[in-house]
Amino acid sequence: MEKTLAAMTRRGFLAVGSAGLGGAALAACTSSSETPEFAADTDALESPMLAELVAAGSLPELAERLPATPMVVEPIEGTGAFGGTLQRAQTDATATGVMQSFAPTGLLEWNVASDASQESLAESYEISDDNRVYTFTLREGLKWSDGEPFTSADLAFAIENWLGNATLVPVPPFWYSDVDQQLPMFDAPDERTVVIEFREPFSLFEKYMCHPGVSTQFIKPKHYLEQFHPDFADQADVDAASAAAGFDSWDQYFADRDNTWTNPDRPTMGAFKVTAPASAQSGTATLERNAYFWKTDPDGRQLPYVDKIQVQVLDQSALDLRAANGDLDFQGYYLGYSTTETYLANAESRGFEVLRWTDTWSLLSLCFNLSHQNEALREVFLLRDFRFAMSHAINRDEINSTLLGGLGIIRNPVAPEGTEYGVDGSGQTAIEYDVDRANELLDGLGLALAGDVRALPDGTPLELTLLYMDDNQGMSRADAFGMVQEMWAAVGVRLNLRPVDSTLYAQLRLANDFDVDGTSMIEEDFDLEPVWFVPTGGNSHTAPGFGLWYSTSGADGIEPPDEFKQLLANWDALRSAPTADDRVASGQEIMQAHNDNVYVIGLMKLPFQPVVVNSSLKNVRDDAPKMSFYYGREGITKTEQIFFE
Amino acid sequence: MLRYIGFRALNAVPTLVVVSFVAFFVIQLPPGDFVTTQLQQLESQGATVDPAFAEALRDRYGIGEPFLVQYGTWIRNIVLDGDMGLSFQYQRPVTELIGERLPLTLLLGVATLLVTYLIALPAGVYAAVRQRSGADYTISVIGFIALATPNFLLALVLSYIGFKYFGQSVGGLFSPEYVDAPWSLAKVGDLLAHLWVPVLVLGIGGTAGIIRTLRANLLDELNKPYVTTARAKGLPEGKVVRKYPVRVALNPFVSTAGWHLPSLFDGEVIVAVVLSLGTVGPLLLASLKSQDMFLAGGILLIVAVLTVVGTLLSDILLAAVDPRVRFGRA
Repeated sequence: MEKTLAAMTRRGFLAVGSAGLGGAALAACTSSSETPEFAADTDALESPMLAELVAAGSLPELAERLPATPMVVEPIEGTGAFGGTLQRAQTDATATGVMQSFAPTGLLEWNVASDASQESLAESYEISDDNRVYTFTLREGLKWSDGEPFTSADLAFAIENWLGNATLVPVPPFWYSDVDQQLPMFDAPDERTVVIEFREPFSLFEKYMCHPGVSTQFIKPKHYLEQFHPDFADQADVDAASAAAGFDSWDQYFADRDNTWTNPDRPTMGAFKVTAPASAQSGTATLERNAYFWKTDPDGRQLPYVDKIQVQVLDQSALDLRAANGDLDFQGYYLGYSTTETYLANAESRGFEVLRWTDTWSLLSLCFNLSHQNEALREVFLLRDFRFAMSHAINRDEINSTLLGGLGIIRNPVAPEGTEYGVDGSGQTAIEYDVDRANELLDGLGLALAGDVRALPDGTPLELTLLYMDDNQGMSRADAFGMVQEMWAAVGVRLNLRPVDSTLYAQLRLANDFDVDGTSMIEEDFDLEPVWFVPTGGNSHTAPGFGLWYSTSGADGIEPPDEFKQLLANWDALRSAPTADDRVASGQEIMQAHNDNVYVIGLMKLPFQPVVVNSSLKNVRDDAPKMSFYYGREGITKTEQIFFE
Repeated sequence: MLRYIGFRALNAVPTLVVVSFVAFFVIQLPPGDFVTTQLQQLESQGATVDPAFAEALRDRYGIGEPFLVQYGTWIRNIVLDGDMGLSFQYQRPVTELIGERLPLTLLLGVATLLVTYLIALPAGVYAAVRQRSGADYTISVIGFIALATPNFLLALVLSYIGFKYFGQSVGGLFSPEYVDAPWSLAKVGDLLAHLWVPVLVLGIGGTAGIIRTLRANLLDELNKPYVTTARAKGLPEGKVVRKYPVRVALNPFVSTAGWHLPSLFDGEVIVAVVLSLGTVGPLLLASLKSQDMFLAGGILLIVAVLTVVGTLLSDILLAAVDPRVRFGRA
């Protein structure tokens, strides 16, 4: 579980250079006037790479490999040619994000607009009116990448023997837990049907089943993994095999065998499978097309169009240089905003384009610790006027023009307008720069100046420490917070900056031991990760004490005031909403409360996320889709249908 | 001599015990642990984790156990069956992780050492023989600049120049088309094309010290009467310098030769990181950053062992060269 969770969130892909060498480069260099040689037969329904194997007798005919009703994918621009090798890179060897971006698997998936679910491995699905019972019907004749049939028994294995095994998954994950931390009821009446029943409505389950980081975890090959699981194999054999492989216990070995990014033997349902994991020697992972992949284009040609993907593990600076050199065919995640100019300067001469996708993750914000251990400070932070004053004291335009050339988008963190939970006109409360108003509010709260620093009612000076992780990927945090420091000093609040390492940062927040936290906030799809806006756990950025209180049902932590109890009640209502309308209404109430009270002070977010795309790579969305973990990052462009012309 | 070696070897054992203990202790010093790192990492990539799950993870890894218990288990497994435990981050056995990076690490280390000596020894001799000439000053100036420039900066600059003017790709040791290819002449060529940057960067950094030491030692030697005698007898100048003075001046390098062992293993960490090389250095840095205890501890332990062994070798070499050392009179 630790592995899959970690896997869920990492990123990734590989880069290559020197056009003119290798298949991808060949594809990339072909001028549009002549047909590239590997796509000579545009009527072919399968990649020449696979046709060769069929001719040699080592692979069944295409008709036998596809299900009875393959999923048909509408190409974004038009149908394409088979072949080519796509180069990507990533900075972390263990990150498995590429599997979610380029080879996601799930019963459901997002539609192209990413605002609703659609069938994927499931041919059809039904959700009961009260959001309690979810019934999925699988396509007929689906096969794993090794040719074995994919049936409801595989799902039963994932749910009963993996999620249901306390050693493998100690705590039910939040995306699959029912009342009182128990698992929902599961039934597989026949080979193609699965029924999941929750005891109380779970309105978000449909979304989780589309979230590539979550839905993938339900798709496990029983016929392969059962040999590593004591429910099916002899415990002594399983233990011996784990020990022989150098693991302390069978569950670690199971997780290792179940990792599609590092274990080429593990069958998959995704568009690509790893044939060579990224070893230390090569620093590069190679993925090849899955011969049994179950999606086609409208002409009945088996997807994906691209034959191979190579992912190189690189340091950040090397990765940025490679992107600027045109060595990366399609990469958005891992690219820093600050290097955009270099990409633009080199794009034309090195044959790639720089797209501007929507950034969902960069609103630099200041979170007062509303559950501060020090009661005097906590009381002050919980006063709405205090937060308004501190917001008015910040000259955001100046920070914007200094750090982002005025391109940054100034707002407080709330769901953007036009999204499901968006409230019209929100995110602009107390955002204008007004020192007089700030001083007036602070004076009104009795925080009188003593010298040039204000004092709390008990006489201690109002001196706060801002905790943050230093990061220059987007805008320089040290610079931005340095300017805030000066602006707050001007209204009599002293701020000390404390940049820390990521581990210490997490530690201090979990221990509820900070005054102000400087972080990037998510704004969209907060329902998939409520902790950013509702203190649901001890890892909250705004009120870890309240979060602990909530997650331990009041046994631990700090009891929140009524307004936060209301926020948490709204969250509970959202999670168990019987209808979509109720769910959205609860979500909007949470956003309304954030908008009216400015629980978090926002500064500004980046105008876009740069994405580099090889000029000859087609069917990549250019309508600025969201770059987000919830949509599989680059996967939002449905990567199985991109092709090299 | 045997008594001396035995005594030295016995000395090494308690040193190793203490070093391993200190290493394990130091890794545990920073606040938080691997699980907090993991939580933060997940969050910074867009996924938050339930703290209850984190607690379960801690139990699973035995992170909450007392320090001495953890240390005892760790050392016992290493001594008894060569098992260094499992890396938290990679979820793979530590020995496997280190093993797969060893060949490249040694290749880079040995190549760097050779390049360093190939540049430094001739330069040092030349600077001494041509004392206060233009060549001497030039060599010294270049050496000092190389010493003063941070290695990783040089690596970055070379990478950038390669990209800007030659459209060359940086990072890694193989081009993508050779990654999965079987070994061939072409693949070796590809490796060399990538290897020269780190070797040059690392090699140049180490030359300055050697040049200065050699120059000073040689200058001492060259003014001694036996050299004057040799010249007076009409020996050719090259032979005069080579036959004895250079050999004597090399003494300090012989006595510190053992110290190259550990540096072969964990050479320039930062340069390897910047150039994305699959050597042990970046692995060590990453493991320390994420508090991956068994991985970091394992690497530090190996480095410590190599340091102790290297020192032992140096002592033996010195004793062989200088009898005074053997009898504890130096």
